[in-house]
Amino acid sequence: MDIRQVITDKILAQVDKPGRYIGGEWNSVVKEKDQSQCQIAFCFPDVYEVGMSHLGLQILYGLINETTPYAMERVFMPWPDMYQKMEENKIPLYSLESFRPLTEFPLIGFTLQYEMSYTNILAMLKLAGIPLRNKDRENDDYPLIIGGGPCSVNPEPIAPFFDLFLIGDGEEALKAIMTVTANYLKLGKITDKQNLLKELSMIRGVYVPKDYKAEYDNAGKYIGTYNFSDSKIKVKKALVKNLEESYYPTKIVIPFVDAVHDRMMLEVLRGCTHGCRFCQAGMYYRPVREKSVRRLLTISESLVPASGYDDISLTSLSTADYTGVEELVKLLIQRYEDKKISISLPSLRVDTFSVNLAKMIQKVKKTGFTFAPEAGTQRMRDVINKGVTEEDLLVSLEGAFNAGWERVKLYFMIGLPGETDEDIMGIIKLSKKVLSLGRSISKGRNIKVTVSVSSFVPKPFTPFQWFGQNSRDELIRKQNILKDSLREFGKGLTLSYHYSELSVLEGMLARGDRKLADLLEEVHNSGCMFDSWDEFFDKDKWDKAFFKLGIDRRFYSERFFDLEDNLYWDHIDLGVKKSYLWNEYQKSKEQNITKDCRLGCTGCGVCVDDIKMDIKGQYRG
Amino acid sequence: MANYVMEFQVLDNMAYLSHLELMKVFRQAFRRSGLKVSFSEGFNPHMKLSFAIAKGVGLKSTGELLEIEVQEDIDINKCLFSINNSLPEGLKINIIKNKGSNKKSLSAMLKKARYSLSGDEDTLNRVWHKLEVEDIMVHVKTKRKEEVKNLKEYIASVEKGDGKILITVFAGSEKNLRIEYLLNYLSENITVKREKLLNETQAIIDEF
Repeated sequence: MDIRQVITDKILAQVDKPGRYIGGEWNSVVKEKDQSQCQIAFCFPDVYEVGMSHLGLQILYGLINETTPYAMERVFMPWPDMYQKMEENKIPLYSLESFRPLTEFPLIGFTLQYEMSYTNILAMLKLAGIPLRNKDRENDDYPLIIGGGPCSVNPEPIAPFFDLFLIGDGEEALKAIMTVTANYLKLGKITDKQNLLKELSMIRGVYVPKDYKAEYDNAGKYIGTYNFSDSKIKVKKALVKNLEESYYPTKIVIPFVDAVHDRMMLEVLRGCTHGCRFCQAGMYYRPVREKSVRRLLTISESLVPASGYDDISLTSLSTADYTGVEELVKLLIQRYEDKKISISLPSLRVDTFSVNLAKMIQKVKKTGFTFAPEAGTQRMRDVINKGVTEEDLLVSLEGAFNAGWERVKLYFMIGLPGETDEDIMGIIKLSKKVLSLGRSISKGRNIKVTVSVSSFVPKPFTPFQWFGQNSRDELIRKQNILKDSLREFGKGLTLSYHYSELSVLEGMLARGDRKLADLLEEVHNSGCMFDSWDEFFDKDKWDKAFFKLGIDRRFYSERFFDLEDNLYWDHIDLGVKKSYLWNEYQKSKEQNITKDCRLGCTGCGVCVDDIKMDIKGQYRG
Repeated sequence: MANYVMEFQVLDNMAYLSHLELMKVFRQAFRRSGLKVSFSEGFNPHMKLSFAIAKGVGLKSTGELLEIEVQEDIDINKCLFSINNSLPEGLKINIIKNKGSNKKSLSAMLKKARYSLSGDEDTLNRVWHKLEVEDIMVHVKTKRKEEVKNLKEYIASVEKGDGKILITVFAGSEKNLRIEYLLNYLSENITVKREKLLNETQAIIDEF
């Protein structure tokens, strides 16, 4: 079947946003199959607009297609209308570059950005006609299914569906995987899959789940997950040691359909060591590695004319921490102001420095202000090690309101360890203070404060990995406290919060074990997809699957672990010592602060041998 | 400052882009090509760029029109080359013309649009007969209202071409036929393409 023909003639006219499915975007790269030595389909298990916003995709896509003899093509989860049409017309899931079905690729890589996308992975495999479980794909005909990205730090709930996981930075490790795989290809197909896997497992960051057995004792208590040949083996994360010299894409693919983040992204640094105790990314991407201002300017010189975008976003976990940020912003404005290219800072710290940065860039374009105090009281912020005081927040916002900003968004969490109702009320008090401050400064302008409250989900490799998540009912109760109190305040304050049902499932999957794969397969079979989208999430189907399999979600989500307990992800090694995380957990109970390691080592254990923090200037703290 | 008109084609899968997506592609292509388009004033400066008319999703065309204001006079041939090198496959500028002293907007000039309908001989014969009838009464439903329209009143002329039928219909702000209505009425397996955008008497692009 000529997939492109069928799609064009029969399908595109009948689906929403057909531009998602046509490929051919500016800077997309089509290599004929015989022109590349190994091919990988990069699958983003969510809709095109979300996937095309992902920097990791652009980095790996450029890296493989520009600098290697291999090829990477893109695949996204079709929106339900398209999914149905493809099933009806027996069109297998295809890549946007060559319109080839996934089965023709020797390698398929899924990025694991959030737990609630897991059912989409299964839906994509199904649409591709690929058996879900690795044990059903042992013959050479099927591609190797690879997973990577943040959720790979505890891949156990999806381990039976994958042949291997790449844990850590993907750049160098993926290249290595493709180089090894290329040697095992004959006529584009893998030969000797078992030996290939054996060789791949030697690459740092690679975890082959079928080489590991999850063991439970007779009472059903988890003992550990061990490598069959050597029980002491742990999987160490891959890491780009020198970010400055590492590849960065300039010919980025420009989506036709508006992406969620539809702009140039300049990654100024990787990692963050503020040490917020809830934050998984902060542990996963350690140590902090910066790029120099010079390098970033060079990148932007190519990026701007190659993309045609009119907005440069300085991307990282915390861009205000970048030691060259002031100089970079100044120079970028100087260069691009007359071309009407604006600069944006997606993540600001709660301090006047950040407000001043924002003032610099607002010359070009005016946007809202977003701050993340994360918790409503000082006590709670000390528990989570968020080094922000109420004074910081109010002084910063005073600056913002004075400079003319009218819209402010505040991020908070509920369900944190040790939280009391007083802390919940603290969110309201603080938000009201912000609104009053805005109104007193604004002199009649229309101040809008959006209070966005998410429900805390304990994540592996954080100090709170031992903590049991709040129950759904408890989260709802806390949300109701917020709703009731904010209503009294009337216009000016808007509250948004997460669907607690989903937060619990996320919590279960984040700290789950391999047994949950059966659950995922069951809900997949009942038709679940796009679970992270409220409009598609089908609670009934999940409830039925839990009942049928006798699985209790609360056993996972609300479980408190002890220090002696083996955790389901103990065979993965991110470099951060378990003892360090435990110590942080204990310190949190005493509201004891740990400072940023850029101001002095705190002993987390990541920096060993030639792995070290790499910052280019003076960190201002 | 100077104003230019460009005629362009939308072929293959590019036909499936929405009007807004198409505008975005052109804005980005102009930036990539180095063309210095003028911007509006204010906090959110916009490129001074407008299309004669929006094109339905899925419709191919060889004769769409857009106009831009640029900061300085351009070398038309060089510019044609560099813009076409900055457009994705399926989009192409046919011709660029200086708008000169003509101040009227393209959308105000637009009165008619010519479409070609192609298919096998039998199909085209059936189409021809279906178009020959005195009245073509159809029931149309928009977001705002439901009404019965006589499509014949919107057809300016029909002629037989080489293996196709050329049909000219009213288009623009005063009287506009959505070609989908006609295609629904015909419900035949034909390929439709917009060929040209016209004023009262001729192709708009020939005005310049």
